[in-house]
Amino acid sequence: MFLQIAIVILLAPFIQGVIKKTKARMQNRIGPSIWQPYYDVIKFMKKDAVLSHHSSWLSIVTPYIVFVSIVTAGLFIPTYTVNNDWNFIGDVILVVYLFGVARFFTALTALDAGGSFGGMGSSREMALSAIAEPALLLALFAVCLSSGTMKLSDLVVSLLHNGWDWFTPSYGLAFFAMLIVVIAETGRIPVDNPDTHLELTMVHEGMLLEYSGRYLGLMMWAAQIKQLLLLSLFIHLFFPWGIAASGDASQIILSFLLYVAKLVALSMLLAFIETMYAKIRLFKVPKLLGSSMILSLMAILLRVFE
Amino acid sequence: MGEFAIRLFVLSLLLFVFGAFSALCFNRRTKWANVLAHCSSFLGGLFGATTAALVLSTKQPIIVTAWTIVSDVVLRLKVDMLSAYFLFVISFITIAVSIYSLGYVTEYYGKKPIGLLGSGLNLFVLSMIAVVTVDHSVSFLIAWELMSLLSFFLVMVEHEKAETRKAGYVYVVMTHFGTVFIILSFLTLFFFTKKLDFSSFTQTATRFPDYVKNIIFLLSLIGFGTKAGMIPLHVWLPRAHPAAPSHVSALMSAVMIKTAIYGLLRVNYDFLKGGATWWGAVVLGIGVLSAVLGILFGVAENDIKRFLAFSSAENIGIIFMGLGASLLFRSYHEPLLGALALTALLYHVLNHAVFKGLLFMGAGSVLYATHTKNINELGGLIRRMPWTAVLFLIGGMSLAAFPPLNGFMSEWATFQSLLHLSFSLDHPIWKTVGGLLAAALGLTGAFVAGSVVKHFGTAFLALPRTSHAAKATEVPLAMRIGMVVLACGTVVFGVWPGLVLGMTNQIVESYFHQSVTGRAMLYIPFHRSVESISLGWMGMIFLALFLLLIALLRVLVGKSNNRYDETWNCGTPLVQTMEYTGTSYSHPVLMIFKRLYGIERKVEVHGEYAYYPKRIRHRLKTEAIIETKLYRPLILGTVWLSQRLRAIQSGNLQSYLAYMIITLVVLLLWIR
Repeated sequence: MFLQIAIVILLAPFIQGVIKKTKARMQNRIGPSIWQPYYDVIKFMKKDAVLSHHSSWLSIVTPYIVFVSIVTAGLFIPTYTVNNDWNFIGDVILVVYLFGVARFFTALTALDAGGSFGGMGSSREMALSAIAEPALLLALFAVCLSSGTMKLSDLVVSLLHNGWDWFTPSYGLAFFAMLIVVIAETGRIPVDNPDTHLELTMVHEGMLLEYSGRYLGLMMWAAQIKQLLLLSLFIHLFFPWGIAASGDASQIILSFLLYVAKLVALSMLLAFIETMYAKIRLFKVPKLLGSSMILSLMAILLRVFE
Repeated sequence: MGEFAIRLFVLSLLLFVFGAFSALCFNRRTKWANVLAHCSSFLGGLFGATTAALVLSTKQPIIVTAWTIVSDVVLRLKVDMLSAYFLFVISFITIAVSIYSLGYVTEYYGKKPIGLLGSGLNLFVLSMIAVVTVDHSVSFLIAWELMSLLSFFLVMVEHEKAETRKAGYVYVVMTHFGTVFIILSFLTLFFFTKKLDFSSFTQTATRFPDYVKNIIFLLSLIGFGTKAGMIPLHVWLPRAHPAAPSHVSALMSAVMIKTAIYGLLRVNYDFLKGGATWWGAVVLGIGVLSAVLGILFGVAENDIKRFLAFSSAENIGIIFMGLGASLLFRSYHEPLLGALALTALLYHVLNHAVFKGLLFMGAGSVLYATHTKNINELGGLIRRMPWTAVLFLIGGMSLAAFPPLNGFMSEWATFQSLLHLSFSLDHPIWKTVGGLLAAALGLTGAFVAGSVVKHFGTAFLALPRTSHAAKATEVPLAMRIGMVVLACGTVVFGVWPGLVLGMTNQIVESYFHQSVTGRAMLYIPFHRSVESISLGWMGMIFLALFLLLIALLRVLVGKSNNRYDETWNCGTPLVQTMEYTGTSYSHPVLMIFKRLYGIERKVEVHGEYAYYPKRIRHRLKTEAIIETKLYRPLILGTVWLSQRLRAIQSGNLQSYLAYMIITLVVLLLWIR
């Protein structure tokens, strides 16, 4: 359990670093070091914080709640092993709702200081997440349908066992549906721009505007962990090969290295997509997520009538 | 044991009667009336809940013969497992509401007759208990009618407001519309059994031909569905609940609409023992419609109580989804899954009662302190009303089904039932639909979270928008205790599902011969996989990590140095009018679902140049689409028909006499 938590927490800034570096290289920039997110986190932890006069105790508690709910959700997602120690506690629905808790508190506290930017980010986030959540559930369902469980570790084992066929159309459709959802949930272009600080285009960053110091550090770190978890989810749903199902030490090390390699590859893909596309208008996002839902639905129909 | 339970039950009923009469007697002395009415309803609730718990734990139904009118017509109360469960829900909420009312009715001192109000509350609870315990269709209908009328009177407490009168009118019309269908369904049962008591229905109704069963199902669905507030028969909910005094709306929304679920279960499970596959499909369809539309209408509301009322329609939708899935599994002979779905729906009945009661009381507290329900006139209450804020937040989180609170447990069980529609049934349609329904439930959950953020954030956070909000103070102790009771309920029923499952299992077992149980964990052994959930464990891990994180940061880095300064506002000072309002918060949702709301948007720019306007007026009009598209044509049609019928009302005495004679002759010829 502790190893799983530690790896999830410590690996998350690295993935963020890889994405940023790839993006910079693709834009012909040198870019900051791959380790920059670590330096940022350490710096933020040490800094003093400035809070608004108008804010309440919620502003102080929220970063901790958000961080811990996301880490707790990480217990139920397979990372470098199949990891079924905590299987009895919950399944992917619990994961979705734990992410929901984090989002709820983030959005709530965005209103705490009374500024319009927080409100704007919060209102947009809640509206978009309402469309993203069914899209996520449908995409998950498209994959779960054949194995008949929502427990991720059982699901991965059964996927490993049966093996998705790369050339099955429903597989490809579910893949693209899930990719769209992962992009939306991690708050990346074309849905949201994680690097922007232009007030009118912010969604997730808008909600963090009033945070500083340790609180900002925790919120950013939590966002990175959530990104890592979603990427792991994506990887294990579509490329589970090589994941260690037993407790053999050498196998686990191999599985871990493979996991990191897959993560790096996927984050490069995300960076690539991000460089290729521009952010789309806010009210176009529901259409994008809608198309993800249609893809999932088609995947499900193909599965059912196969 | 049985004797003791009976005595306890009778005592509880007598306490309600005592509360009603004593409050009336002390109508002039407000304080006495308040204390007498609500203390006796508190004790009545306590004894009622104990009786229910006793019945459910000993598995022995109790029968109380209240009044033998003639040897054949007996007013008898029978608490079997199903009744006991609903008795528990009613009594538990009554306990909390009674404590809360002690404080809340002080608001009405000198304005309204407190004795009448307290007496009405006691009788209302008594009538609800009667509805779920009588075992004869005539006494059921009388109790049902009493419940409707008493709640109507309670809605009309603030009758000096035109809005309230209109709400009461719509309520009384709709509730009788529903009652007609309930009467018809009982008449159909009577027509085929020639008996009126529930036990003969139970014995013979399974042998009815299919078409009769179908008719009874449809009639009961419309009849009870109106009371439950399923869409599109929900129109009275968002009117009546905000108009009623908050402790009454807590009871109405938390408990009264659940009596309709009781009725549906009684008719469709106890009497008919399930039916055709399409029953389940119809109920599922209505459930999904109610859940999604209910919350979509709710998001747009800026009145806390109206939002809560719409969210009740949404939760009834979730309950209906459980009911539909359960009926479906029953028709496909999948007892374990049927048991799971039935558990989900019963669990959600209790959970919704607990958190919706809490939220209505929270809204009532805001109303008590600020005299407004419009969130755009509130703000910053978390500083002035810290208790109410925390309790409302707990209720809201439970409403949005966030772990580790109780709302999540029943929503999870509903999710599992819906998903297993596709995992376990072999029909291609159900394989597809199961996932879609689960996604719809997810959509609902996300919208609920958004609207809770909207209401809590606008009303409780940031700067006060008006002087009402700036001058608010914390509510009296009794009101806070009442809310704390239910807030504890949301936590306990979440982390210890065994408490509820122990009760629901008795009902589920009697219909499906399968048990869904658990202590700290809800555990379902399916054929292919084992599904389980434990919020207790999750909560402990969460807490451990939370403390660990704080401790680690404290040890490794030290305490955070916090400084306080202005909110960032592009360098200009922040004033209340710059805050995000409730209207602007839900604007993106309104724009995304434009067609559903029938939005009319007007922007008027005043001033010489468009780029430097002196004043901008932005108006957003939404339209209650169900009312304009569905109800208005119906109402117009009815009015038209009535006007045509008026032709026979000439006002001429002779012609009226002629009608009578014609009727008499026709009747005589027909009966001959």
